[in-house]
Amino acid sequence: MSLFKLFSRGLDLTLRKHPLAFRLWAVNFLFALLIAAPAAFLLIGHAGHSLSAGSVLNKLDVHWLTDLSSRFLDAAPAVVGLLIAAACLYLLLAVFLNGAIIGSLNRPGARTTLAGFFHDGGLYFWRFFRLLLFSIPVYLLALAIFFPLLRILLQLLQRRATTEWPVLVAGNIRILFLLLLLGLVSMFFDYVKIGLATSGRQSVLKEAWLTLKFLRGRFFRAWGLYLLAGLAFILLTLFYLEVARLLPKGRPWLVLVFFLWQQLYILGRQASRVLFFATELEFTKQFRNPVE
Amino acid sequence: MKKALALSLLLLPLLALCAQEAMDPLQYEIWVTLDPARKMLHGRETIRWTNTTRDTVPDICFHLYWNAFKNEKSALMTEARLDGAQGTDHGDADVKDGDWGWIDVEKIRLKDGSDLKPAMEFIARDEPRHADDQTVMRVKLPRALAPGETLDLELAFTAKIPKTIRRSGYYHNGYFIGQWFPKPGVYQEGKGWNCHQYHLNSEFFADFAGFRVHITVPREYVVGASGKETGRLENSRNRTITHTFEQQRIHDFAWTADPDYIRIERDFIADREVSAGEYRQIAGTLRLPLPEVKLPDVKMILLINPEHRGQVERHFKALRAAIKYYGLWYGPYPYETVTMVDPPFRSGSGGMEYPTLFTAGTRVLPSPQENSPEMVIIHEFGHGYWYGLAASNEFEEAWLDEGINTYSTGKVLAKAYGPGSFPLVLAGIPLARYSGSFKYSDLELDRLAGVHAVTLDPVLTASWKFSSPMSYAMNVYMRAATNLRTLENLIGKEAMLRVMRAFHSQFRFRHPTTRDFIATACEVSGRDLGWFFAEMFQGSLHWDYAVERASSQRIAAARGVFDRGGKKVEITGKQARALDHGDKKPRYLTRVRVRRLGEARPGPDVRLKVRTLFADGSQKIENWDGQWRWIEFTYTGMSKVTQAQVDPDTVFLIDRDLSNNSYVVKSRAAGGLRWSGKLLFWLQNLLQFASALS
Repeated sequence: MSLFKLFSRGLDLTLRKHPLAFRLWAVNFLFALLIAAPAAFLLIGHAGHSLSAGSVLNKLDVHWLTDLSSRFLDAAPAVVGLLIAAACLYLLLAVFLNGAIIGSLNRPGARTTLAGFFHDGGLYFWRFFRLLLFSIPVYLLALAIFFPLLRILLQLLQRRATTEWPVLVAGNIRILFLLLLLGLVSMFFDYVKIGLATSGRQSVLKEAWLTLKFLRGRFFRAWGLYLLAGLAFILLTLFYLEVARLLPKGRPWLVLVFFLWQQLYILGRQASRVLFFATELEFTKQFRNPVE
Repeated sequence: MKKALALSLLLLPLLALCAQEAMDPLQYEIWVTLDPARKMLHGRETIRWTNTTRDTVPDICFHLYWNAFKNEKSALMTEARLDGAQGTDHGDADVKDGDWGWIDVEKIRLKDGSDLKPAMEFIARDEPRHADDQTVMRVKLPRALAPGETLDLELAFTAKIPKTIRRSGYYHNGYFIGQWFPKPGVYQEGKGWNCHQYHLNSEFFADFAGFRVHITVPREYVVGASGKETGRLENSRNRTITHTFEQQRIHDFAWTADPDYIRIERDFIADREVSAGEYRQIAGTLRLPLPEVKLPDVKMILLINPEHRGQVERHFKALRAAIKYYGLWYGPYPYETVTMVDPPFRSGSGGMEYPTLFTAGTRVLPSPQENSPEMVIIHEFGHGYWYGLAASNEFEEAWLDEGINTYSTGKVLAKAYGPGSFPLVLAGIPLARYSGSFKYSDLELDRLAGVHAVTLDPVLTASWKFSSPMSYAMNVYMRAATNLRTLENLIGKEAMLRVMRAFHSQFRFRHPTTRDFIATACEVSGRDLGWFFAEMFQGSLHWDYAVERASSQRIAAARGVFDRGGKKVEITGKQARALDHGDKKPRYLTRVRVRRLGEARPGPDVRLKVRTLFADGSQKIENWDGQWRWIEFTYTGMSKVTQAQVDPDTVFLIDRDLSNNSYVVKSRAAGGLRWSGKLLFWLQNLLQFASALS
């Protein structure tokens, strides 16, 4: 089966299980709202009685940013700490959600119930959490070995550069390589998660080993499919940016429309997350022997 | 008064010119050869220095700036190491083995042949002391120089060109050669030689001079230099060319050589650039006769790297705007040429000024919406005025060139280009399609940095004594510029323009000080501005005024016992409420409280405007001296207050928090909600990225 066919099946599965994306959006929205709420109260309090930023149509101006920074700069370390803590908590939540997504996608039938969603999240949480712990050193290893190797190679090119171009090109290659490297590791662990869910296996290490064996002969096809899903995400982002650029912003109600458009984009991002898993699941079903 | 002012504005440049023509104390002739293979300069120099003071001078002090790059014990390297400035854009202390630079004076003798080398010594007078610094050389003269006497010296020097370090150096085949020759300090009557060491946070100070410089380079090299090229001699024997450059009345000389430069010449034709209306308008504002503001034509020379070829027009457009507006506002550009250099790749010399030559700097993919490289072109050309012509001491009072020039750059940019946009750049590639909505002006950016610099140091701090390079930059550039904007708001745009013109005219070809600027500002504006400079330039206290509250209360009928017609009448609570209820035209008591949150205060002749708006559209304006911690204004009337504002015209741009200058009674959540919505969206995206690791 061709990659495009697999991708199309994954897309079809994502659309059929569309409530998943809505649920993910809701979780993301509520979690972000919880973190943003104190800042929102602070902003409203700061701007509410002032002419500086009280109007909904005021554009972001540097004077207001200066005022904000004058008042709240000392709180910056606390805000950064809060953001890191929130990101860590969200990571845990994402581990739960991954179980819910994969479990729901793997369930036969078009319907995905909320009970089933939470059941699957809980069912796979501990396994996926252990996998997360296992994945962290792998990510670090990838970054510590491959990335510096490339950096050394590119530095040779950069050091000998007599114009800015090689530096710019090398910088871009480095970023591209970093993204591909992280994508590669991420894809591998996606397949491990799918393997854990489809096989019902408890051992994370064994599943990782089996996934490695599974992907060994099919790496480029799996990688191609992953990149196709990634391309869908990039296209989605470009579409969002194009529409955002064109949306008029001169009226208060248009500000609301813009906010809704942003939320639609976040919904799209959630759908693209489901799409990654859906295509990988289709790939697994197509090529992996259930007893592997 | 006005007539006297106009007359003084008219006469000042002439007087300054007459006075200075006779006073330029230096003449140089330099022969220098570039040895690209060994990265060396070999030079000979004749110096004629005239003692124009009433002092008898026993010695002469020279700057040997490149010795700052000789080893890690120089003042500059020590300061760079202590400040952790390694790896910054100028390279600073991050020198690789073999990349050091230095300068050796091999010979120094009088015209009569007397050898002065035994009388040479390195001195380090600045505190804290860096005893091993070799950037200042003192030579004791065999006989003290009487007033009016002339000293003729012959020097021979060898210099190792450093690799890519603060404003000078080489990378590959590109050379930028600045601060490269033994240069006397400035002799100040009654004070001696002003000759500071080369510090991390400082630039330069030198005397006006005439230069004749012969630069010999391999013939494939394209050369640019201060002044005008007056000769070119091909030496077929060793395949080199000797370029001769000459310029009178400049105080430094820099040059650059690179075989890859593309050299393009254009003319600034004043009559094409400036309309008759613009001349009339500026002459009217400055109260000068029309011929005084007329601009001359200027030869513009651009040396640009091939990869930036597509940006030639951007460079010339910015330079034309700079020549035009600096010329109209501060006085005509007095030299025939200006050379704009797109510096060689990695030569560490971008964004720097020298008389009649400056370096810009751009990227291969500049953003079309961002005012870059325009900003740097305008700024560095502007230094031709503020440092080049009004040659202040950059070691001791850096704000006089950097602050005034940052202020001027912002004004030229606003006039010629309007607000810029923050570029959206992904891995060095500008995403022009999706950026451009977040506009900014230089004024706003200057304030952003300026208000955060206030408590770090006073603006008036010697360059090397700032608490950090960051404090130096934020204070002398941005805070000083914001202060000048505030001064402009305080005395008015036109008066400020006259101040700047008078200051520049009076001190063109001289060495002005802060005291001179204050005196000019006071004289031209007709106001005592001493408090302003004491508070804003010598002080380090925040300026912050706020409307603490604004509220209206209905004036209720009073309860209690009242004397009416010789009787005691009691108005009970019930009766008072009934009276209030029946009152169809209620009256309100409005209280507006304004508070001084900062420690800085205005001067005795300054009043802060406080404007209160009422629901019926009426307004009350009060003027407060701003001295006490707070003041409350009360009004009674038929209408409720809607908003109050202190300093509603934003005169005091240096105010730490402008958002608390206003108080709107009815809280409006919409604006805050909108920004909260944006924050929410960015948070959602951030969380989504974090979840990718799961």
